[in-house]
Amino acid sequence: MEIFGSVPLFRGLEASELRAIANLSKEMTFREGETIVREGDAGLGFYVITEGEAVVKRRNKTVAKLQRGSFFGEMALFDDQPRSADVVATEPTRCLVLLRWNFWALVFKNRKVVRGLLKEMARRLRAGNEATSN
Amino acid sequence: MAIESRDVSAIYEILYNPAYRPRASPSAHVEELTVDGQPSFVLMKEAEAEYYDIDAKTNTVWRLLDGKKTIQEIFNQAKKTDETLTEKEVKEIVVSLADEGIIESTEAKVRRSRVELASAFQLDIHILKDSSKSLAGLFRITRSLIRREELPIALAVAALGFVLFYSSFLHIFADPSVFQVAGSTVLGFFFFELLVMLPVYAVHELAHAAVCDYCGAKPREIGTGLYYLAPYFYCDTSDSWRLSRRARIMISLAGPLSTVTISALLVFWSYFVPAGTEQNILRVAAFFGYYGSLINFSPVIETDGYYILADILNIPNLRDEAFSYIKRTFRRAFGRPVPAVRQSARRVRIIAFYSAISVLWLAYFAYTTLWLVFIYGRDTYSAVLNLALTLGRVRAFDLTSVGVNVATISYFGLFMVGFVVMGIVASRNIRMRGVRLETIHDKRVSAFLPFPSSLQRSGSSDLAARAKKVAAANAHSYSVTVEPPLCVAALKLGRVDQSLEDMRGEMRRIEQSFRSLHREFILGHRGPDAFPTRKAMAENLIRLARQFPQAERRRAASAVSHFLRRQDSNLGNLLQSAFGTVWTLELSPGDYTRIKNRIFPSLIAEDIGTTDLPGELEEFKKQMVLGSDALAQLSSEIEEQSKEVYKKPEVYQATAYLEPMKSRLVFVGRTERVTGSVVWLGGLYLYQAWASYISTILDDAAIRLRSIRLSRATPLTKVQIAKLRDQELAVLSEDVERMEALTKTVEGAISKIESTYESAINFNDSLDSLVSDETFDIGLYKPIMSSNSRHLEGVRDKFENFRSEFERVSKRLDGLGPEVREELARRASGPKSLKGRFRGLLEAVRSSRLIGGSASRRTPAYDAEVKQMFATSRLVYGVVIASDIIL
Repeated sequence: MEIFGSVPLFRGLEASELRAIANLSKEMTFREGETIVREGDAGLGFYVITEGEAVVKRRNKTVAKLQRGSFFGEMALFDDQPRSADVVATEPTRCLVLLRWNFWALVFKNRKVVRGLLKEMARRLRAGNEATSN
Repeated sequence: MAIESRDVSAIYEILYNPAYRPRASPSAHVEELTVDGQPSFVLMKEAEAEYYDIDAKTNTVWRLLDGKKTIQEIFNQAKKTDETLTEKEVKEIVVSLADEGIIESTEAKVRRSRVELASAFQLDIHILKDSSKSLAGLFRITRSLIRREELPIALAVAALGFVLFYSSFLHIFADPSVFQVAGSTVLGFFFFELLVMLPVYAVHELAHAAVCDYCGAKPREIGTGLYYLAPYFYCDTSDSWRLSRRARIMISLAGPLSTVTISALLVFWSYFVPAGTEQNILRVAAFFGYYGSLINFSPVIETDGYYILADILNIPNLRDEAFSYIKRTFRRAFGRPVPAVRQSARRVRIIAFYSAISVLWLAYFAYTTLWLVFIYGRDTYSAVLNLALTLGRVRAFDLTSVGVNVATISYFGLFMVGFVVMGIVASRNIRMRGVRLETIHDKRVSAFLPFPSSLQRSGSSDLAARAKKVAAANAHSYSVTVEPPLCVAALKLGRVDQSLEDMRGEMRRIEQSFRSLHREFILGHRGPDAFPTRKAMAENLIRLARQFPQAERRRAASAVSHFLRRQDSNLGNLLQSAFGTVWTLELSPGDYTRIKNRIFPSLIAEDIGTTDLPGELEEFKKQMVLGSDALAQLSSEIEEQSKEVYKKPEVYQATAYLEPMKSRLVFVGRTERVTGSVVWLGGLYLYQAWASYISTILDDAAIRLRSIRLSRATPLTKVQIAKLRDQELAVLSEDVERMEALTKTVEGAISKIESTYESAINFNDSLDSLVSDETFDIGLYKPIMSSNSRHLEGVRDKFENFRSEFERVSKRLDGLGPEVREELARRASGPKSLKGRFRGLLEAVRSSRLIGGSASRRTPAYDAEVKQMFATSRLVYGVVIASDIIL
């Protein structure tokens, strides 16, 4: 629960809300170099890194770095499309996974989480735009 | 309902409801006959004139369908008569009877009107519904007229007539212009077939009926109609199944024999009239009689000749067997897999010979038909030409000529329409039978392999690696995702070039491959590693069992070991029950509307009887997961909903169908709209299995907890605790500590169950998103959703009940714990008298001499308390261990 509290996306949530999220999530660990999600695969879960680091790769090119507190996997859950990129652990990494239906419940019930998600997605979009224009 | 005569809910009842008591239809009965010295059984449904030649096993089962016995009881009793019968066979027999509508609850009401359109090219007019009653007077006369000796006489007359007529027959056959009327062959055909031969055909059917009556069976319906626009008559003599083969052959022979005898008499008559129109009419009528009889003796069309041949060979389904033989031969020739069929060498030879004859006959039939079409077409062409010339005033107007031309064109037109309809129907049937590449644009499958969330990472990676192997063996394009508690293998099978039968085979094969790997994996991972609470629970129970009085200890230990074994088995079965697949068959809207009524009965209903779940899993799914009531309700809701779906193809662009025992969900239609969401549907199987199982055990546990209140065992009072010996108090203190620890574990489990429940509710809500807008609708999906909601609704109530009972029991412990600890503290700190010290020493000596002596010195109230805790703990532990399954 403490780990959840320190994740920016969930910052500001009540203790009971954090407890509910913790109860609904699963912990997964990955070795260095291991692929957490693979481009083209069906997306079932939403991931939050609680320990370690990972990179986002598209066609073997690193496009972003993810650290403790970063989240990924939400896009496939939003549009029911396959995963858009690989996410590979660059060191031993621990993630919390929320299955699709629990993620959606969290989104529906909590405006703070929605705001956090939108903020992060806008940031990624902006970064993408900048990268394209450069 | 698309499933036509099948009553799926009845089949579900038979297969899945152990309490179902099938009752034989009162309108049907079995007659035991000795036909040709062999015992034979004919199941008769006289009201609908349906007769079934059944075997001894079916007869044994049929006699036990009294509406009082369950399938299991029927099996037990039937086994006494026939030791070789298996339970599966009994089910299959009852299913096949239900399939024919002869189980009372499934019996369809048949209302028949006098005129019925039997198919696109067959119109039936039922003249006499029961000729045995309507023509009773006539049959009294025919009974006295029919003699055995008449058969050779009739054969001789017919043969003589044909010998005399042979050259004329060939002449008319070669030159149909002989039967022209007003210069038109078409009209001539119409005139002879519909007018001249009418009484001959009537006599033909009456001959069948009269001989049927003579031999001791009841002739039923007599009627007429149009078959490919040609008139025909029929007489239902299916009651003759109760007679010997010889009698059946005689009945079948009577009709054509009467026709050829009349034809011979017409030939004889023609010799006594001067050459001219009258003689020509007699000879052409004789030609129609002989030629019609030749067609009637066709071995392929189910007419008299075919039935005679089938009876002579004693192969009732001769035609079906021959077609199946031809199909197998072709498949073998093209290197396709052929199912093994066990038949005697003699039978194979007969069927092979019959098949060859059938092919030749069909070729001949096609040739003569085309030839007739050519002759009639030529006439019609002349008629069109004449009519055009008349209309163009090139030729003078003649009313008779115009009438003949119009009649010729009309009749030929109708004739050709009949062939076109026949061709369309045949082509549609062929296309329905083999759903092929052009109709299935894309086929995908997602296999869901649930595993315990608490399993070590290496375990789930191992499962994924195995799933990848199976996926790679079945598809070029696939993905395998592991996100606890699910491993999802999504296979893209692409465009499909296979028949429906092959597709079913492929579905079974792929599902079976994943199911086997999952089963193997689960059976290897259901120990303490996968379920951490199981180990702690087991230790606690073993210690509790050891505290029983000496005499009862062995039984208690055995109860613990039985409980743990059952828990392991249940956990394995529960995870296997949550395995499932989702198939999507994408079709174009046109194809979907056209073939869906065929796809579902073929894909689903025919698979019901071949569940074949391994080991005890089938029983577990029926009893602990799905529940017979829920299955029956689901199937009846699907049946109800399907009426709407099939009526409104414009609304439903896709149809979903769930086969719950197999855990197979099939989407057919425009599945590209649902494909993206399909991957997470594994939750359906997961939560359905969990919700039903937890619901069952919560019930048991709550009842046991409630019984504590009713039991005579009262908690130890403060005074009783004070009277306990030191040794007893120490044991009690240890128990209390353990029970307090247990309470915490159960509270943890309750929290897990709450979370899983919330997750299940979240999943159920998410199902709505599968159909995201109003322009797209999936038929037969609502019953699945409502069934899931019902399951979850039940869990909530039962869970609340369990929790309140548990809290009530825990409160008792809340009071006991402090009192025990207070007494312990008092004894530890308080000064002891010499007497007291001596007693303590004596206790220590006693306990050191008695193995496990503490139990033998307990008060009865304490013993009762331990037993109660023991029994209750087992059930509560069941709940705790089950809570581990998902979270």
